[in-house]
Amino acid sequence: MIYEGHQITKALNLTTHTLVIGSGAGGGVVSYNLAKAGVKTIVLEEGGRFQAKDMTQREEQMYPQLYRAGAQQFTSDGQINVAQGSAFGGSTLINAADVTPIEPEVLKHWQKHHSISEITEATLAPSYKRVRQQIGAAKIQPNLINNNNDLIIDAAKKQGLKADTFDSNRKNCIGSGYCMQGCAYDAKRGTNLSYLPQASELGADIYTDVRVDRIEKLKNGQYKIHATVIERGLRTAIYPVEVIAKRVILSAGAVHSPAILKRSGLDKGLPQLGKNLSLQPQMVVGAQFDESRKMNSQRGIPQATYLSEYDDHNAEHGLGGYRIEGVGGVLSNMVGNFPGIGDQHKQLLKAYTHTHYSLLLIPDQPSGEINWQWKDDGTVVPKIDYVLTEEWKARARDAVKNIGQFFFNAGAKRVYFSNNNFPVLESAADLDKAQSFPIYPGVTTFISAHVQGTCRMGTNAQNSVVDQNLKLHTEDNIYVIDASIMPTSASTHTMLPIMAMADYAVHKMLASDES
Amino acid sequence: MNKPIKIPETTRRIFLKRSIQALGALAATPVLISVDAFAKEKLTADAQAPFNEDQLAVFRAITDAIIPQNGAFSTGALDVNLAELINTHLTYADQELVQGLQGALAFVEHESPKMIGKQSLRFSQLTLSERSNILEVMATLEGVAVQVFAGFKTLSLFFFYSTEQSWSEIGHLPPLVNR
Repeated sequence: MIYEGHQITKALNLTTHTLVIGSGAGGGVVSYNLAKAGVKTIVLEEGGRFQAKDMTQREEQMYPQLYRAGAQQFTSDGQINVAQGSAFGGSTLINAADVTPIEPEVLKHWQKHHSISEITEATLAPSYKRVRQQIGAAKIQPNLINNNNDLIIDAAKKQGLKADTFDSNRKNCIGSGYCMQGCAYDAKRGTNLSYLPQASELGADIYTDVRVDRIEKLKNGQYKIHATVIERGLRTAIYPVEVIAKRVILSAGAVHSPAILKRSGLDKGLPQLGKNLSLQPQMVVGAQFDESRKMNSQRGIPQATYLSEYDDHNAEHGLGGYRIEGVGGVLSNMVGNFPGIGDQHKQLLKAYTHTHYSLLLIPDQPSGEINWQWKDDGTVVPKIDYVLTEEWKARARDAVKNIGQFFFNAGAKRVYFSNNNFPVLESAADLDKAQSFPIYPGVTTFISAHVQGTCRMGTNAQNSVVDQNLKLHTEDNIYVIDASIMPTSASTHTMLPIMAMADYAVHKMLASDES
Repeated sequence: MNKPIKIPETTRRIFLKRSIQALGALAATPVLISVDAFAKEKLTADAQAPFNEDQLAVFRAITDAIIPQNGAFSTGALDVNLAELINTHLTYADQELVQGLQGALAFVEHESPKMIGKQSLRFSQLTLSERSNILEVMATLEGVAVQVFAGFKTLSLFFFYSTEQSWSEIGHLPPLVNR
């Protein structure tokens, strides 16, 4: 059954074998597989359940409802907007539906530098196959690629650079272009459609609008999970919920899984908890073309293609380099830091229909951590402390120059980046200015949609939080199965890596249960 | 603006002190905390938009400088009552963010004119050209000034481009669903 918060009219006391916290890429896959295996499973999801009929295709209405903190979750210096879904389906409800595996070079990096010997392309292959089938992953159809995305492929081809089209998890997509505001047509096969309804049919009980506060370990080895039914929107407490479970699986994402463990006092003996945070910061690039060259960035699949020429993935550092990926359908969200105000700004937007928009994605090394702040009411809430490294900034400036060159070579008349204190580039002659591209709080805002690493997987409690079965080093029956466990950035998109790791881990878990 | 804003110096300091952290978020915030219809219905009876008339006057002066009327296209912030629109959304915003914004308004109104040698005047008393000049100076600074600038700019542009009047100016298409 799926119970929504407004349907709950009293305090709840529940008992189950396995409790799953979160319903996104990790929790969705896990709960389905547990239910399929006959394991009594309860899922608690803090966000609400929103269906196709609820999606209005208006940014100012959908972001506050579907995103964590109303899309206002930031690093503590305000420089990076950390976007996470917070609804039935988690981030799979609001992502760009790009399906990319863990990069092979990243797996080699994990093996070489983190002693991850069990997670290989071969051991993950059955999981990829199952997950891809369940979510309907396939190459994006050419008729859904708009001019904005096609430009990347076309320009790369003419310049002899590498570019490609994404795989995605869409079915019967009409190309409305509002993916990041929740699909109004049930075309995007997030866990809200691909895993959770089936988990429910197989016997899992899923509660939405229920926030997990802490996990208490009982003397008999079981766990009591203290949770709260919350009011949708403001998220104020309504009723208490207690669940007794033999096993707990945290799939609350890389910010809140460590926060729940911290609030529960389960951080003891785990010095890496909350550390090793990767954010993969991104920024918007605009490239203005002749008025006759319409981009149609608003319709079609917003993020269908990418330029991979400048990827630099290897076994030494894992994910590296930088890339651009098309973007559209998020007008209000992307204009905030475009150069200038007044008529200078208006001139840029007047050219909206013939301006190409991309996201410049620059992978990072784990350089942040989740810390904790105590509120007046005594609760502990996570604080995302993250500082961009000098190496990353140098790569960003290199990216500004080379991506700017890419667009001028493609015929752009002007190129600009999300930066309040960096001029619009009027020709390739301006590209030398990239060396002084300013990066500090307030001057530009980056976007992170791929938060990873705060419960890193590894070989022992000194270098990591979970083992290669994704079980806490310090507890026999608590697992973390979400983006937290990635030792470093897994890929340029995290849905499939999380789903594959979840599928892999839950099958090992079930095999262990049987034995 | 008819009346001066009467904010004692100590109060302004407290506002600004409280604002620092909120401004960090404000500087980048693309959207305000809002609530869905379910919660909004329950709150409407006693909820009030946070900015008073004096603060709204300052906010109008800021949004007008960011998105003035005319130029590349005619519609500006004043045409869509942008300050009032944002104030309505702020009804349900986190208190810390509201305090941050109020502190930021006080900063712009009273402190920022010094940046162009207009110590004796308030921001809302200046011409459009002077206000634009101040904001452009703020964009080049570091610390609170640029964060306040970025906060108001991001906030203003986010909600301006959520209006249908702005869409028709730039060729942005309306939603396909009508809900």
